[in-house]
This record gives sequence, structure tokens and C-alpha cells, in this order.
Amino acid sequence: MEALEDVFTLVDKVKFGESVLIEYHRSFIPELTTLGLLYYGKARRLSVIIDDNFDSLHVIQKHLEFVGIDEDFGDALVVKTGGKRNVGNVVTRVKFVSEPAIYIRNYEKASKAAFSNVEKSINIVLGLERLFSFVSSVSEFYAFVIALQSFLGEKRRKAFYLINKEIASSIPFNPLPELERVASTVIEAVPTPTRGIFTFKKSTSLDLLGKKIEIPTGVIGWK
Amino acid sequence: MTKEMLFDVIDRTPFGDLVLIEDETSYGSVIAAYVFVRYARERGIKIMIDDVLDTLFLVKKQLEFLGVQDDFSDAVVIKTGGKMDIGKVIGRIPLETEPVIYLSRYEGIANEVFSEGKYINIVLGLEKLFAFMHEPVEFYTVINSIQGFLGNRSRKAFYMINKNIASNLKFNPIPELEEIATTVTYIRGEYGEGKVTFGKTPFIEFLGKEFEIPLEKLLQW
Repeated sequence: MEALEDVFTLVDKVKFGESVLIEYHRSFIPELTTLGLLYYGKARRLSVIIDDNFDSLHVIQKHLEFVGIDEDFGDALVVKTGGKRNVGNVVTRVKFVSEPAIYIRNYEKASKAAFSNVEKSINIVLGLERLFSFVSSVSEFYAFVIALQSFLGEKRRKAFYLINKEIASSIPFNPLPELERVASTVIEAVPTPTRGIFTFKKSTSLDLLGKKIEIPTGVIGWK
Repeated sequence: MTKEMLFDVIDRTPFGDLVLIEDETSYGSVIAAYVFVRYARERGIKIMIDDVLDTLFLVKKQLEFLGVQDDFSDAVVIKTGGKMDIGKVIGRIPLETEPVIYLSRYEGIANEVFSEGKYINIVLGLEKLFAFMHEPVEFYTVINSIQGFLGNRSRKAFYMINKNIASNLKFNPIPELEEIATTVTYIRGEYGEGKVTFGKTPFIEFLGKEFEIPLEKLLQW
């Protein structure tokens, strides 16, 4: 069991520029992780940017409400792709088109304009598996993979991609094997009734490799 | 396994050989690519890298996270698809063409490089090329082209394959590549505890043995 500050110390060890893949199994883990990273950003005075693909943040907010946590994500800068339920401070909206080359260009343009004066940020990416579910050919698939890869080493952000393992592995172009290669850190998150167990499967810090941490839901105010 | 042992094995691997490296670990092929580059530099052999869909960019970035800075500026690079140029890019082939056209372009550029001397040839992201195969005839056209380089005395070739990705493809190239290769090496292990074994090698003393190469040690080489 870990106190929140101990967990934050581990997140400190993830370097700026890294892309972290968090693979979770169906559970409350996206809620626990998103809120935890939001608090982390506040504690470390970093901007928190949330990529909200297809209203994923809305689901998280509602789930949190059910367990008695009212969080409006007003401090988070939200980039919305698709969907129509605005949660948080929506600073830009990317028009979704199923042609990846065009979508990626739209995304880069929109985020560049919105975040040109953001110095250091924590970037939480939600619902990426839904973007991949629109992929209809190998060349589209690799267009996405290469675009995601090009953010590696972008030192203004630490990015966390939350992916539901069951959903990702059941779509026609399963992105997990490529995402596991591209990510510099891979964390597998498994739930128990009262906590999430996070294991570092891949890491750029040798002392984090194989490390397992248990985070009880209580640490973020979850009763 | 120490650096000296590994370099000695590469020394004894003749030019013309094709070494297949199947990686199941997180950083195995990234580190292996770097080890072969280091080997070539220490032995004064030229380097040629086949970079499919920006895999060399990935290698460079991930090495940086592990504390290794290298811009590969001394490596001749043939790029297939992708847009992030690393190293000395001397050829660029788009992926969207027919394999026959693609391969004739590739072979033209590669043979020109090999006519200039001896190279350590590192092939990165080959499984991505195979992901584009739709028909057996395309698949075997590519396999046949790779086979054509076997015995080419201008190169010692190291083909890195991400096993996890390759074995989930419609046309998994691993069985055919194992057939063609003169040496087949596996990198396995979790959490930085890399283990190297040989599935096929001309040096029978390595068969059935497991060599441990921890990531921590490798980074100090």
C-alpha cells in the first residue's frame, strides 16, 4: 500500500519526453489514474492536458460522481476529438476524419495553437483505442503509430496513454504490440475490489523495472 | 556474456551470413542495434542500416532515455516509408508500391552501397514491411529477395524482428526467415534480465546454452 506522495515520487522518475502506456483491465483504474495524475500535476505545478477522444472524460467524470467525488476537471486543458459532452476546460476541438493523415495534421495544428505557451505538462490520453478502431488499412495503422511515435522525446510533456486492454485487443488492427514497442514505459494495471495494482513492465529507469505498486482507491478520496 | 565474448562471436561470423534476432523483450532490439553499431565502429567496418517506417528514430529516442546519445551520423541509411531522417540517408523508398517495384528499387540502392566495401548491415522494423503483405505471392517475393542477399560477402547482416508483432501478422515471416538465416538468436527475459539463446548457429558450442546479459551491464559497455 502506498501513500499518494510515494506514488508521485515514482511518477517523478518518468522522464519528460516519455510516452507511458498504461494497459488496464476493465475496472475503475482509468478513474483512479486520471484523478491521480490530475492531482500529481497540481502538486508539481504542471499543466494537465487531457486528450479526450469520443467523450471518454465524460464517462470518467460520471463514474467518479457515483463514488462521491465531484471533479469538474476545470483545471485541465482538454483537447476534444469527436464526441459532444464537454468536460473540463475545452481549449480546442479537433475535427475527426477517418483519414489518419488528415486527422493527424488537424490534431497537430490544433494542439500547437492551443499549447504554444504551455511550458511543462502532464498529458493524459483517453480513448485512443477508439481512434484505432476507425483504422481500415495497414498504411493508416502505421500512419497513426508513426505520428504517436514522433512525440517521443518531446520534452515539454510526460504523456500517459490509458488503454483498455480488452477493447484494444479486440479491434481489427490491435494497436497494443506496436504501442508497447513505441512507449518508453509500459505499466500493466490490474484491479482488486479496493485497489489498483500497477506493474512496470518496461521502464527507462532500471530501478522501476518489475516494480509493483498497490494504490488503494482511498488515496484519492474514494470511500 | 561479456562484450568481448559477443564481439568475438561476431568476428567469427563470416561475411555473407544472415543473423536473425528475434526479440521478445522491451529494449532488446534497441540495445542490440546499438551493440552492432558499436562493434562496427570498434572494428572499423562501415555501417548500413535498413530503416523501415522510422524504426531508427525510435531506437535513437529510446537510447536517449536510457542515457545513450548517438546520432548514427556514420551510418548509411536506406529508408522505407517514414519521415524522420536519422543517419546518412542515401535512399528513400515509398512503401505504397507493388513489392516487385519496391524490391527492385531497394536492391538497386543496396547493391550500389555494397559495391563500395564491406558493411555491418542492420535491418530494423522488417516486421512492419511484412504487415503490408496481402498475398502469398507478395510475401514470397520479399522472402526471395532477402534470400538473394544470402552469401553476399559485402555484408554481415543482422535482421531484428519484434517477435510479438511478427507472429501476429497475417503472413508471419519468422518461420521462413529462420529457414534462410545462418544464425537464429532469441532475446528473452523480463524486467531487464535479458537472456540470449541460439536456435541455429554454425558454432555448436553455443547450442543449448543460455547467456545472461542484464540491461544494467549492457549500458556500461
